Amino acid sequence: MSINQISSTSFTVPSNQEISISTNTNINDKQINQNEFTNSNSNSITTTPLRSIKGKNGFEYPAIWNFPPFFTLQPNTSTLLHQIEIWRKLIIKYSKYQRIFEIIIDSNELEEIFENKKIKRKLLNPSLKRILQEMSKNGEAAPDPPKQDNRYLIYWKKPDEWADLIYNWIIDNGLNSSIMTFYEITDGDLSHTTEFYELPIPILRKALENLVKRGKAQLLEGKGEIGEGVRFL
Amino acid sequence: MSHRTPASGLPNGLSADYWSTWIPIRKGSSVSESVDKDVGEQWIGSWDGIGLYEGNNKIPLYQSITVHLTNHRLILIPESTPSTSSSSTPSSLAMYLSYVRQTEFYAGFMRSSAKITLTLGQQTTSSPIAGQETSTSDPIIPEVSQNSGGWTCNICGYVNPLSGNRTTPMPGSKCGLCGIPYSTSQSSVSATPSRSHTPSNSVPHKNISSESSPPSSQNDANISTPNQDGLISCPACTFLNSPLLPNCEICSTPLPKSTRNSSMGKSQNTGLGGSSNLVESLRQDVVRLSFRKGGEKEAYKKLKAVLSDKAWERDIGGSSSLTSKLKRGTGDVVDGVPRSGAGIDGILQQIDLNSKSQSSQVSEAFADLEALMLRAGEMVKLAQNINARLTTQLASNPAGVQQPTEEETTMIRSSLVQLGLAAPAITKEMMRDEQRYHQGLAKELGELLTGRISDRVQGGGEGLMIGRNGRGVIALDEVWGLWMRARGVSLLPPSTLISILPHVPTHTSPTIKSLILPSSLQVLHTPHYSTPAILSRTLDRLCPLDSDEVEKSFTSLEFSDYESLPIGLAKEFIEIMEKTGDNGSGLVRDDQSGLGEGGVRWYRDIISEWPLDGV
Repeated sequence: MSINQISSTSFTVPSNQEISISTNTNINDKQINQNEFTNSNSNSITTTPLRSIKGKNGFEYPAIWNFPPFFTLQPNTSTLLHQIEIWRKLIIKYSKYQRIFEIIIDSNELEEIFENKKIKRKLLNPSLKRILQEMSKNGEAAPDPPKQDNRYLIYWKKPDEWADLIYNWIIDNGLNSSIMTFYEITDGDLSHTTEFYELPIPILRKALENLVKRGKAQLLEGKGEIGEGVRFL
Repeated sequence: MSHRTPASGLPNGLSADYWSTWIPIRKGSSVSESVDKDVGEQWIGSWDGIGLYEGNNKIPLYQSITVHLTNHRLILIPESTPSTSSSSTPSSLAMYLSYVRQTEFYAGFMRSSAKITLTLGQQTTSSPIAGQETSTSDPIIPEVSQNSGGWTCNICGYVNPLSGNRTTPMPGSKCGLCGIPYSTSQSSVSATPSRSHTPSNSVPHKNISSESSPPSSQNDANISTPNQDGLISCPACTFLNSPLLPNCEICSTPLPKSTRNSSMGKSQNTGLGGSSNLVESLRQDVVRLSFRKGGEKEAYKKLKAVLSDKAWERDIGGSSSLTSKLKRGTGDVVDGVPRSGAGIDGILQQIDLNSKSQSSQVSEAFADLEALMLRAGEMVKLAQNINARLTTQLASNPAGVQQPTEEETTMIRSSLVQLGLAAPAITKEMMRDEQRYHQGLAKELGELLTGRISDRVQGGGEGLMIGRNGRGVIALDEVWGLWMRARGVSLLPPSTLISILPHVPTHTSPTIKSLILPSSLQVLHTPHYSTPAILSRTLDRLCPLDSDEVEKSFTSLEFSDYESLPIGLAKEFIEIMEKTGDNGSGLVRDDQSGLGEGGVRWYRDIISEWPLDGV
């Protein structure tokens, strides 16, 4: 680190003498610099002065969340891909923590994750759209209703994972072969301790459709106010 | 040079009344001899078979004469016929055209031959001999006063009255209607159109000296005399006006001055009283030339041209003619030819004059430029010559001979470089093939950029890109411009510069390379400004210190300051670092930085290497 400082100070103000130094010394300098650079690069994360912080809701934001360029989608392709990947992970983690099932881009109230008030940076709507599109490509989100890009369901659990979860819960509670309404699954007395408590109907339907495909459930059309039902097999 | 006073000894058969302005010419002298070339006199033409009249009377002795016209004089030479002996041949006569007051052309009818009538009279104040003439009996014809007592404006035709007893307008007096200054060009010949040409008008007075005053027979309409009641008949409407009135009561036409008025003026002018003198002063010599063998039209045309040209005025160069020219103003005298300086014609003349002077100024300016170009060529030759001498002197290097020191040589060379190239510019003709040509050009360019090889060995190379004033990065278009300015001659197209770029690194030390920036601008740069060098410097600058709590960043303005680059180039280099940086070795941008923070800020890329499990 001390070497680093010295060389950096000597290069911040390039004097004329330095320029007129013969080629050999120049090359040497460059090599040294590159060596130092690769060194600093390898431990760049450890050397970053940025620290992770905890939000009001208790969510621990990573250190990179305090890095202003993180809120600007980078033009460099490889950097951008990694940046989006970080965002995907962060959104999933945050959604799971906050039990967020749906993100509406144009809504007035942005989730805390998308705006860092300390550094006055926020993920702008086009950037958020881009990230959500990438997420829906990876099955981590889905536009709902389909073919629009404003409302996205966030699959911090994928529909088949939800399906497994629900089916196991049914089996555990001996509810198989019985008929249940959608409401009983997501808001019933039995389900308020489960992860899928207050699961939005579109996600539930997708999960149940998944079970139907596997032959473990049968969807029943609802009549009147009773709503739709499902029979687990 | 002045006019000779008309001699009184006239040849036989001529009346002194008519020939007062004529001079006899010595017999036997040819016309060409008598033409006075010193004053610019030129022979114009001659016509023979001409008869001479005094007024309406034939002069028997002069019925077969030759008339010679020069631009100053009219010369009459009687033809010697075999029937007449040499002694009886009448003597020749000459007359200065400045005496011609009026000409008239009569085309001829039936048996009557074509005739040219000349009304002759002494010049008035503008005549160079006027001063000497006061004591002679020759009349001073007050031409202006004849002209119905005023002068007519050239522009609007308004007849301006004359003040007091003046016979000519005050110098610099202006037309009362339109304000155009009085122009003397309306004198004598040009005044003729204003007169009425009627045969009766030009009938000469007979026995003028014996005529009593007031003349009862009114021959000249312009010289009006009061009638019995002392009233003056208006020339336009014939209304009889009081002699006290300057203008006609009915039609406002200026009235001719009564003889009484003019006699007062005349007597004061000539210093001679008496009515007989007055009448004499109004007399005119009328001489006719009868063209019996044709040629009258040509003769009249030439005579008119000569009269309007007035060569005698400028050639005699008397002070009076000079002042008269000055009075007219500079605009009227173009190439010494007096012209009327008013009306559309005057405006056109003015425009013509302006354009002439402009074109002459332009051609002068270009002449200067051409001279400068010639001198520039000499300078280049001189510089090349000095350089060649220096080189040979260094090469020969004989011991004992005083050598210019290294410092001197360097000084001379560097000043030569400042002038242009030290060595003559390489041209295609000097090289055997394309490859060598390009190599040679690359060497030349290399020397321009990084200094001469010999200087580099000494470690003091100076060029466009290294040394004290060297710039690390130069755009290719600027390189081309500077190179061409240094070459001065046999300039190259930019495509040649591009084609020799691959050869440039081998001829430069430190190596100069070309780089195409993201905006497709091509630049030359020193190793100091190669992309990896700049990137490593920049990343070092961004490396946080222990005391820092945030990542360091910079704006493009700050970057251009660090790297001493123009802001445009700085932005381009940042873009390169942003795009080419791989695996966390580039820069990342923060678009949301406010304008107060200097716009977009740049950080080192910690995103790319951020571990996903650390999120």
